[in-house]
Amino acid sequence: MQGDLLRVSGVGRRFGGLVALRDVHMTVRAGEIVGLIGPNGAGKSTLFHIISGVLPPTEGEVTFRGERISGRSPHEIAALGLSRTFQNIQVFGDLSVLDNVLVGCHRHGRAGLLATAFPSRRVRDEERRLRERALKALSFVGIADLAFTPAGLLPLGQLRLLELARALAAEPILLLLDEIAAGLNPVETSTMAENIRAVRDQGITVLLVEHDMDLVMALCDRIVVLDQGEKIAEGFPEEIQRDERVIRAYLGAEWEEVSA
Amino acid sequence: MRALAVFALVVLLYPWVAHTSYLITVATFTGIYTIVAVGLGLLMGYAGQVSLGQAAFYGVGAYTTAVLTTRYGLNPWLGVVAAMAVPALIAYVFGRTLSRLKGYYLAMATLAFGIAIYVVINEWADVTGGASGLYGIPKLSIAGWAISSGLPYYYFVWAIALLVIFMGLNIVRFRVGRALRSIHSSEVAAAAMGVDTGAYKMQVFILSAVLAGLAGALYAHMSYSLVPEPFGLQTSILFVTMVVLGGMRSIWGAVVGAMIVSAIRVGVNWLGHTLPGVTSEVELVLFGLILIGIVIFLPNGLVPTLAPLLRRIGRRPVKSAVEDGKGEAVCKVTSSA
Ligand SMILES: Nc1ncnc2c1ncn2[C@@H]1O[C@H](COP(=O)(O)OP(=O)(O)OP(=O)(O)O)[C@@H](O)[C@H]1O
Ligand SMILES: [Mg+2]
Repeated sequence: MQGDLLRVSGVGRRFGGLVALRDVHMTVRAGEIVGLIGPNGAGKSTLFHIISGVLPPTEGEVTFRGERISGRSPHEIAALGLSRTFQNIQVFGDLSVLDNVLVGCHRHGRAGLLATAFPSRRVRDEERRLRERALKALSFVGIADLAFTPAGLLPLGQLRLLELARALAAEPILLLLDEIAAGLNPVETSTMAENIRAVRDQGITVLLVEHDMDLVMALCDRIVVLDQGEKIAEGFPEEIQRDERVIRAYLGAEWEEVSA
Repeated sequence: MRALAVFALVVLLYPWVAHTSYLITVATFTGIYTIVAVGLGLLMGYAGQVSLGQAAFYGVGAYTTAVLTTRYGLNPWLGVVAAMAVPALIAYVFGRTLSRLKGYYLAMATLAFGIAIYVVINEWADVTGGASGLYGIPKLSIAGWAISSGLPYYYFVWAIALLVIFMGLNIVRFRVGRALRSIHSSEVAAAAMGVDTGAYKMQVFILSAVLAGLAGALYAHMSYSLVPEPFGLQTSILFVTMVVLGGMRSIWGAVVGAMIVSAIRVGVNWLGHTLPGVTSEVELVLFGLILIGIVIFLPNGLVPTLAPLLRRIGRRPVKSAVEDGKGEAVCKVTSSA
């Protein structure tokens, strides 16, 4: 268990009377692509929110790089090298594409409020470095030509790429992707799959939530399945595809709706 | 920054056009208001918080230096420093108490604070002189030369105001300003990118209080005496009007707002001499109407609405990447937010 990058231990989360997560245990090891799947409302996004500090768990704890992170605020967790994207796109619509990604670079800058009020050479140099870093992230996902477009004007496919670029600009150790391919056409989906592989090849560990089963099976080294807040299976893609409980959970939730 | 250079030139040449001492005084006030408005603009437009008590910080600044210099013989420059430090401390304590500076708490709390400070200035007559005022405020001096009121003070105030504008323009351009702008669109995403949203809101609140305090000190040393009247709720509303009118999310918006509000006051004052019955009450009604009108018709304020138009006039129309694929994307972003 020493080599685990992320460990979720006995995590539970209630919203009033509703139990969104119950006693969930899972781990992610460095270098893996792990898939987190389950029918609608299974608690996948809730688990992402808990890991990234958006929500505190009501039970259990999360450790990242050996440090307990549950209960800490999102920016502290981000500072440890965890970055994420959002299922309901959270792009900064009135900032340019480049500025969005520059906010992703935020944790690699130092300059504070007063330092930027009278920008010294050091502040300007830092700004230049951050811009290079941001442009690199934009080229990586292939939208560098849109750098000066207001982000709010992008179509969905490019918004998802922008979210990926922004998260990558933080140069994370662990990247959480919450349905990054949702709403994409087949061409865009395969581009996204290539991007995710390229991310892993850079040494970044990936935990992703995805409904597109072909994508999940093709990408992931390991899969964790949630249903109604509980972990019902965990294993290699081939094992998961054959798992009785997984098939039943998906059939119960109407396969068509889920895979749509 | 080119706009700043042009504007500095306008400031420099203004006295050649407007040479009555009344118009110089009005312009000096505009400079003082600009300093407050830039701070309040950063707070409202970038940190997403409203302060309805900015006149109280302004008043605390004015009275801090006035009391310390007249009663304790402090050097006026140190008085100015104290006038910035005391509001900073108050803002810090405020921010701490309201730990997360969320929603309308700050607006309500600063409103109450503003009213309380006004009462204190009026009632604590032993120190502040109360309603009858505080007299004998010394002038600021540079190398033994007092900066006398009129033209010298105009240039002095505007030198500081230009510096404050320069500061504001830089803040919004670099790392922290970008982070602040991002908080506006999605606080949760900003935090996930490592932005300590709470800390930045606090810092901007303190900065806005410091600038209001500085402006207050400049006001105090401009004249010989100080009375409580200019530091009430009416002035707080005046400051909010400037920022909303000019455009919250623009440093130039704050500047333009301060200028227009000053111009309106000159107009009302002039009407007051011509038509009986037009008093400063009219002014307040007018500002109320302007606020309502702007909120309904120009929610972004004048500068952010007009700037793209001006830029378009200045340039030949170019079909940019921005114009491609406009329609569908906008509604998608809003619907997924
Ligand atoms: N803030 C909240 N308040 C109340 N209930 C919530 C909240 N967030 C999530 N829930 C509930 O918790 C359950 C799990 O939601 P969650 O969003 O984690 O599901 P999910 O697995 O991500 O589903 P999907 O595949 O549709 O995105 C759902 O029943 C949802 O309604
Ligand atoms: Mg979800």
